[in-house]
Amino acid sequence: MSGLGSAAYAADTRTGTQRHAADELAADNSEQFVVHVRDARTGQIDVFRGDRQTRLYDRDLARLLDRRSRQ
Amino acid sequence: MSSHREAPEISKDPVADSTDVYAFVSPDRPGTVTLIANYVPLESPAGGPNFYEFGNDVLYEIHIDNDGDGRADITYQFRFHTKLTTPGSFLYNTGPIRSLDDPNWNSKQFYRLTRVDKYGRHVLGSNLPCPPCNVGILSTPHYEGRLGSKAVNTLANGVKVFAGQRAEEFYVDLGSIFDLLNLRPFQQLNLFGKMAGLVSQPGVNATDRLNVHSIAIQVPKSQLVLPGRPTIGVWTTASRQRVNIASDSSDAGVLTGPWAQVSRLANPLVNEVIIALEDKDRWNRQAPSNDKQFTHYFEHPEVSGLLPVLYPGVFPNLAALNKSGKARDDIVAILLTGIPKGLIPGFTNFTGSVQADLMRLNTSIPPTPKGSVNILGVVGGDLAGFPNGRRIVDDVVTIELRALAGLTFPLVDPTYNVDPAANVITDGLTNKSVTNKPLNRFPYMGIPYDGYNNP
Repeated sequence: MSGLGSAAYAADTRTGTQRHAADELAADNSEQFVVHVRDARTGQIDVFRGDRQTRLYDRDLARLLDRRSRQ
Repeated sequence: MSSHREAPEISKDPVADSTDVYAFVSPDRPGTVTLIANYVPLESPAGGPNFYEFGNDVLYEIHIDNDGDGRADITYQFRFHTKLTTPGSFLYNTGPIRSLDDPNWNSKQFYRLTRVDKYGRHVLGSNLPCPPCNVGILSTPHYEGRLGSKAVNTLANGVKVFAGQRAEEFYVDLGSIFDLLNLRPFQQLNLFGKMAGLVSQPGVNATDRLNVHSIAIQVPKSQLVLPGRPTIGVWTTASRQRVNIASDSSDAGVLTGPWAQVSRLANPLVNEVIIALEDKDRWNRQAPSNDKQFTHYFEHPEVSGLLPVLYPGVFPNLAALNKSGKARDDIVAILLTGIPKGLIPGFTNFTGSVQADLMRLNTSIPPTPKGSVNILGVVGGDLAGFPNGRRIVDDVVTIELRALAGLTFPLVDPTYNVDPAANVITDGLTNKSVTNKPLNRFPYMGIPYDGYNNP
């Protein structure tokens, strides 16, 4: 999905926690995780992985997921 | 019931539904404390072929607050997993189960025990075996000797642990209590019982010959209490991961995310009869340290308001107390802060001003010898019983009924005259109403009822 690259870039420009999450994604992309777009307008996204929950704000990714999920 | 099916949401999730918590100084090892949390209410012993087990997707915890802030200082976590010996069979067992590793037992459950404290997480045991359910005389012969007692695991540092099916030891006349509080011994005095022409009858134990699943741990006191603070607060919680994508024909589904508490329990009957329906599910999700938001329920318990209405003329002083609008600070003390020093000679289990529903056990009070136990606990003059922790035999239904009827209000207002009925009100049951009695040794909960003889 071409959008993932921009999402990772967007995360890199944000908090250390978010960068850490993106690094882990790159290291082990076989693990399942769940993305919950709580509000596509604000870009508020929760990522559930293992026993963790990471909150991100990424309007581009949220809009992309919103658009794709309606197709 | 004590806390069986006590709130709308958890009543639909039995494996995460805590039913009772017990906390007492171990009578046969008084240097230790035994903590028991029961789950899976109202198990019918014959409930095969998929007999009861703990939830493999549930995080079970027993928490201890040892500094009075209503927050966990020590937590024991239990995580379960199931292994099938014969996956190609539909049967729970393919022959008699004679040992915990018997290949005839198809569906075995194991658990990992972890202690979490200020020093971090410590795995105390892994792949610890549960006993099977007590299926019947052919499937689980000599149940306790070969299976139940063998599932008591002795760990390092003097800790013992058990997790598995046990007899339900809690006794209550559910059929009468939830039928307009129609206590059978006094139903001739009940507003509606009188109209129906009912006469006094003995209580009926609705939970007799049923099983539960017990998590029990016995820990040296020194591993639980702080120096100079002998009273601990105990509660249990069950949690589920926040995200559950159900499986379908082509997808195994996903469980992920942080754990979210779905059930909690300390003192019996709190969420059951103190907390109103609109707050029950929310109460189950809260930490005890947040309980101040529920104090009004304890200050003005609904049952205390109902008793004079349902039993006209029987509780005149309670009716006047209710009408006065005075807060029931006795109930607040018993259930939310512990009883301060000076109210009952030689006794306190006060933990401080933080209001939190905790089962408070003053571990410095020695266990009462078996022959001298009073099942009415502290109100019966036995300081080693409820609400100083809770022993398995304690008659918590009668104790709480009497307290709510005003028996304990003189603790905070010595001028209050207790209604004579508050000294005798009961659902008519005692620990003798339970068929399988508690054991004299850990895990103390009785031998589970078998399915053959209890269909």
